[in-house]
Amino acid sequence: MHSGNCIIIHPWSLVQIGLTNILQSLKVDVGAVYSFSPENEIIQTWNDLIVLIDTTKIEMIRKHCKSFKRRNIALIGIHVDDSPVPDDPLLDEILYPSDTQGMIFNKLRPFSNFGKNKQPSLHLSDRETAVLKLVATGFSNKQISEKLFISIHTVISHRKHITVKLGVKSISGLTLYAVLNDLIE
Amino acid sequence: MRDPGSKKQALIEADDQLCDVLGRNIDLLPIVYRFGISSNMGQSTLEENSLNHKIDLDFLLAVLNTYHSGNYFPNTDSIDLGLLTDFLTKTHQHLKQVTIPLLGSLMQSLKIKLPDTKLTITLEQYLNDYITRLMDHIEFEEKYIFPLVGLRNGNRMGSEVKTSISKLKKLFSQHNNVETEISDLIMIILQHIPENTDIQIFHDILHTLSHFEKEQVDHARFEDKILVPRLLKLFGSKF
Repeated sequence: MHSGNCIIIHPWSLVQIGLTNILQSLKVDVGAVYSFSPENEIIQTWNDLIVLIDTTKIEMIRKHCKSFKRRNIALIGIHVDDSPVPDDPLLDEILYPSDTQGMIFNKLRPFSNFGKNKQPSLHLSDRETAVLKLVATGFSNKQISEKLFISIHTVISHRKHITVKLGVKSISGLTLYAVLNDLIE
Repeated sequence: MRDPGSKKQALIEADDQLCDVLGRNIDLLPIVYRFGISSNMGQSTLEENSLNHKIDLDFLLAVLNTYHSGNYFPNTDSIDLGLLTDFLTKTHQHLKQVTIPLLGSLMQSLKIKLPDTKLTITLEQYLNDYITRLMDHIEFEEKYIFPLVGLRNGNRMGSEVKTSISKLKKLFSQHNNVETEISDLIMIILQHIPENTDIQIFHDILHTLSHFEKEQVDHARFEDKILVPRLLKLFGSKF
């Protein structure tokens, strides 16, 4: 889970920096910036936040978008040029290169309260959150390593970090934490 | 002048007055009850109390000091295993008759204060599951482990006894889980107390869980450090 309430997915550094500055003025914390679409296990951990994404990357996350409304995720497209984007019911708003700072500010302001009421995440990384979800769902270290394409040693290392950060050791305790923080049903 | 800070480190001795011992550590009161001492605590010493209530004084001192100080540990070979299992059984009864009902009543109060919230529902579920596992663990101990004490000469080695012996080592991992899960619950409650809520109910729950955790740790010390090693020593050659 991210410490902030917003995620930016865009390959251009200038776009990443510019949007981060505008979002900060709206008191929206950018928790993570990706140049490419993150892995499925990470996307599945998202809840209650704003996702700003390069419109050319939407197809890569489309299969997850059906649950975005239920998970209180606002999806905002960042278009590559000023040609109109075809209607896409998944997008809550679209930003264009010619938008002024004021226009971007006005477009983003309605979403600025997203994620403000969620519980503090104690700053688990995306990978740790993905591991926590699988541990809480009952998967073994070996199964987790296969699902996330990482070594068992790395899984154990993530689990140690999770325990230190949360102060919770047992699987039942981790499951309780995951339920209370909407990581699993 | 009374100095609880320094006295807490001092060992409890036979000539200490019971009221003074309890004044130093009031958490020992339910332990004293388990020895059948529930009245006339006045000025009498532990030695006098043990005579009046027909209690083994050395065992009483060993138990009180173990619960009183995390650093103290009795001479394991001098402990009478029959007395120990009798005391541990009474601790189980206390758990079932006092601690668990108290936790249940506190959960009911929480449900009244915060009805139908995710926190209340999931905490209650966690606690119920935990208590079910704890009851299974207690049943396991009383069914398989404690009866071995009565057979400590090892003369009768029926299949049931062999089964019990083979389960002895399982106790260690079970104790570890019992303690860790309650410690985890305390941490999670601390992290999720809602804003603008009545803090007193959470304080009561945490206070009870904290006492419960301490008692579980001390209870497990008797079993893991005295009972199981002694039984393994007695029956080890029969594996």
